[in-house]
Amino acid sequence: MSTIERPVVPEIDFQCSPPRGAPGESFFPRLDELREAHPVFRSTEAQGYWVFTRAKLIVEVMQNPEIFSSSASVPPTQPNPAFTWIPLMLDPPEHTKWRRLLGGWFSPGRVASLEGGLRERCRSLIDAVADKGQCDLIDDFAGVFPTSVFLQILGLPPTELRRYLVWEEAILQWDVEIDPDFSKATQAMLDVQNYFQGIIDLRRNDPSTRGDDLITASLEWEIDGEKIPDKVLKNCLLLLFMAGLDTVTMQISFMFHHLATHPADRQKLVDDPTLIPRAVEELLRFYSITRAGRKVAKDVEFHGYSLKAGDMIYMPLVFAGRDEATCPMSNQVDFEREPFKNYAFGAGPHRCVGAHLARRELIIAIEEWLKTMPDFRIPDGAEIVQHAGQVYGLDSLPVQWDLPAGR
Amino acid sequence: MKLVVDQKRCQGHGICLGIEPSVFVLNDDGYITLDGTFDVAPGNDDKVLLAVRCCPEQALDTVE
Repeated sequence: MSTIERPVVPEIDFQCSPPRGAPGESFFPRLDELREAHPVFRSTEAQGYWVFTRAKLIVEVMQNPEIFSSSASVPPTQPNPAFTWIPLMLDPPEHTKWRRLLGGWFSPGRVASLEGGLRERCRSLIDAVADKGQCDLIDDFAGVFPTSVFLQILGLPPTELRRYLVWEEAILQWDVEIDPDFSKATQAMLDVQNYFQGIIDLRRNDPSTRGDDLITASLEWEIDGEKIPDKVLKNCLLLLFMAGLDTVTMQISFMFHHLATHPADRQKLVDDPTLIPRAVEELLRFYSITRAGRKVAKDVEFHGYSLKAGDMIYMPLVFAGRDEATCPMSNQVDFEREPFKNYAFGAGPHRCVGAHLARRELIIAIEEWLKTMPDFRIPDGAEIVQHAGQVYGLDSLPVQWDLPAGR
Repeated sequence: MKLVVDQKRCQGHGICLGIEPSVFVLNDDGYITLDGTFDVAPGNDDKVLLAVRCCPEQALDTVE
């Protein structure tokens, strides 16, 4: 009798959201080591979960929601979460209904119609710092540009941004050290939902607060011919709030950190701005900040691995982006490489609904910034600290540049 | 060369639209309107092949 050869699955002391490292440390080298060493491993954190590091498996998981459910997602240490982010934690066919409601707000056509306003907003932020010769890229630019656009789409007052960012930080910049049992993040989610209840009530009771915005429109949304209960609607607004206020900010931060520390790459874009859309794809691939999670819905043999119903799977998308199967020399940044399949926004039905808006914002941010501050750099002695959170990010990013003569 | 589109695989990444909007027509929600096998106009071969290579969902293919 022959025995089936099973791949060895190592058990590894791996945390999905490790505490902040020392200044200058990055999470990516450790992730590279793990990816190079193991196609699949088991984390011993919490109840234990699978970690897949190959693009092929990650994409297959994301494309097969009937086996790999989103009912529990991230963090993978929460297999029975006390919250439901809509539509991120729904499976088809429920998920599909929500995506139809949201799709039009973030479609390629809609994003194209926002182009002028996006560029104007970006320019005004750049003009506000250009003469100073230095700024904190996150406080003054990356944390404001995409977020203010997003608040406008939702119909939330931009004057409240700082308050929103406190909540958003508690939920998304969570790690095992500052919030070991996820209770602070859970509380912040409740606070955001209570806040949204107030906004919903206001829109309903006072017509003058209604506008051409997503929250106003959402009051009329129907699923299966029925209006959506507030409790459910708030789970969707909560997700939009989280996804809209952190991801593009942190993606811009990693991109600008790369450009500030790789002058030859930066110069390529200054010399030929038509390369910027390709550079954005490449930097999205190389610095994919998002991680996906799924819960196994039924016992299944998957590429030789015995997955049991209820098992959690964790998939940092940077594993897919840096997999050699995705593109040749995948461990290097190359703005001139042949186009490739980009998994930075995920795949399958949960492909990031904001991807078109995010891409546009990332392109505009680099185009406009390099027009005015082509030679920016990180000052000597600056301490750059990464956080893992729900998406990888930087705490701050001080940058400086030479003022043109006469300014 | 012919383009083969498996519409049910499309997840609206919109990469193909960015490569050649005259071929890859999307609906208002950003998903592809094509389904089936289509002739590729002369001169569009390279763009179609590029879109096939870049579609993250393997929704596009070509046949001779």
